[in-house]
Amino acid sequence: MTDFLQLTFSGLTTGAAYALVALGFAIVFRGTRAINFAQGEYVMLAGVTAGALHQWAHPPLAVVVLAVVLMGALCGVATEVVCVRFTRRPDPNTITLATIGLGVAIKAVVLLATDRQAYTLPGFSGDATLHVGGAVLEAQALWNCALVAVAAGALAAFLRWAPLGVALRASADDGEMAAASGFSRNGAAAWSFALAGALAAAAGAGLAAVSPVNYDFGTLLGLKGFAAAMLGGLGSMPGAVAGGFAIGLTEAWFAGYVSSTYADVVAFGVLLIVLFTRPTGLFAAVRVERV
Amino acid sequence: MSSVGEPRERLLVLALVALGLLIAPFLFEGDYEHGLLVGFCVNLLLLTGLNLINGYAGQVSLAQAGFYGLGAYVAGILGARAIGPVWLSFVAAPLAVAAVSVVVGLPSLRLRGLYFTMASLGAGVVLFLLFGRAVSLTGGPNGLLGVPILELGPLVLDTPTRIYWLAAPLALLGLAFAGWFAASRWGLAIRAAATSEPAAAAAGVPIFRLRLLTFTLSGAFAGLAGALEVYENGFVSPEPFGFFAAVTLLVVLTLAGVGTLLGPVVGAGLLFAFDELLADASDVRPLIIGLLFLITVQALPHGLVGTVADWRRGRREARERR
Repeated sequence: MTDFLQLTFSGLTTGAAYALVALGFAIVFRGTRAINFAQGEYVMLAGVTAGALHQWAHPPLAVVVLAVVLMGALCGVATEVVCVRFTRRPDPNTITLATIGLGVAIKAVVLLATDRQAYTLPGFSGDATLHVGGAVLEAQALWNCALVAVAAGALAAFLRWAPLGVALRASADDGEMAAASGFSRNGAAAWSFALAGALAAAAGAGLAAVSPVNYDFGTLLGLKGFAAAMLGGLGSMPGAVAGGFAIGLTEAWFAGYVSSTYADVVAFGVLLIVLFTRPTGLFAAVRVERV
Repeated sequence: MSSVGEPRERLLVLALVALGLLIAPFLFEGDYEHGLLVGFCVNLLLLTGLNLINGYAGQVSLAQAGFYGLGAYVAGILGARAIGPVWLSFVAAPLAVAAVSVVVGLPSLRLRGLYFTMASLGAGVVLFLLFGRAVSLTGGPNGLLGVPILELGPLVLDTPTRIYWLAAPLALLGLAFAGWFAASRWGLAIRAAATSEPAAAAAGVPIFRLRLLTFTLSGAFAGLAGALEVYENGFVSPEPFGFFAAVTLLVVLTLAGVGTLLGPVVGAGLLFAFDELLADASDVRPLIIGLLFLITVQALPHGLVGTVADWRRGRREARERR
């Protein structure tokens, strides 16, 4: 039982990060029908920046987190400019391929800038731990879950009530109609990318407090977050959160009870099973296209 | 629809490539340079295979790097454990990868567009992770040691130059086969299905079966490329077969021109140029690949070869109007 709890806690910690990444995939997919493969690299960039900022100036942690979240949002806007505005025909496939190129470039810039060095943040409440049923729960795990709850809640409220959120949903539903009512598709795309970037940056700060982050941290994480988004149903917000935690927990339990060597394969096994059996995912949010 | 050119044009391209492959080892001398030339042939096989599924069939695959690695490991393990004669690796690797392509293709080619790309990406990443994790079989992250020197009967291919004279004809044959396939009835049908699926289906094209055949062929090309690579290096580790490798192959093929006979040749040439020019600055390589891709997919969706062809066609039409 203790083992099970311990594995569950570690699954929740990583699952929270997958959930934030998956939420980013969901938002961009709704706004543009494209898959933003730079998502994982935003997380890495934010983790490295947060760690470097902390090392350099020791500002209060809240300042570090806010700064990287702001930077993540700006990265999102930059992505929209680079991957959508420059395209002659901004169709989803071209945007998706362009974000792959951007992701590779971001990773390469961080590689050159940091020379493979890894960065960490201290835990948001120090190294505090809780003891639950004999298992050790790091306080940071709770912080990361809280980040997901706050992010998902704020996002849901924003999309439900804020005028801009309503416009975003309208644009995702019927872009031409929304454009005819004065909300441009490019605007929708830019806001979607900005939100996705901010979420990824929050995940990056949360993860840097758990384990060291270097230039190579984002690629696999992004792909796993994508698997989580597919599991939940691409474009569904509750699906993204559920998918993220489901993949994090499955991975942790698999590592504990079956094989820690092959735990990394689990997310991709899930991705393939979802694609082959139910490509719309568990919570199909978007009108089902012929896939 | 992607064009394959007239038979005379195709023969001319093949003859020029043959001539290039013949004189290249005399232009670039030394073991190091000849090793890069073997790399050119390996990349030519990889890209020719990728061009079949991405270009002619229009289904963008990200599994090619994983398939390439699978070919390298199958050939390397057979050689290192001395299972059968060495030439058997060159038959077993393409066959094994073709078999895996069928297994991957059966469910994933039922998906369309981006969903197929994602499934192929998943399959490629799973293969890549297995190379690093199945330590008892593959040697894990440290790589597979003990790959023997390539001996084919009385021929001992122990230098890059000697391996080149095996790799170059194989690459040329592969290119010729791909050109023939694309121009054949099957190739015509698969290209038609890439342009308009409903129209091709209405004309009686068995779309799924032809796509599966094309995907399997592209896998076999990757398997052969892997076998060549492992015997040229005498060693194989997981690192060159990951997500970045899959993206790199897609980048150079897109930049060179998908769905053209010359595209894979130009693509392999670009990779050769990268290796020549960036030998001392391997950290800069991902940055250049990433930025090139970012620009190419948006500004030159038809690639270099395709853009030149569009320009020539435009000029010809302008002349005919006059």
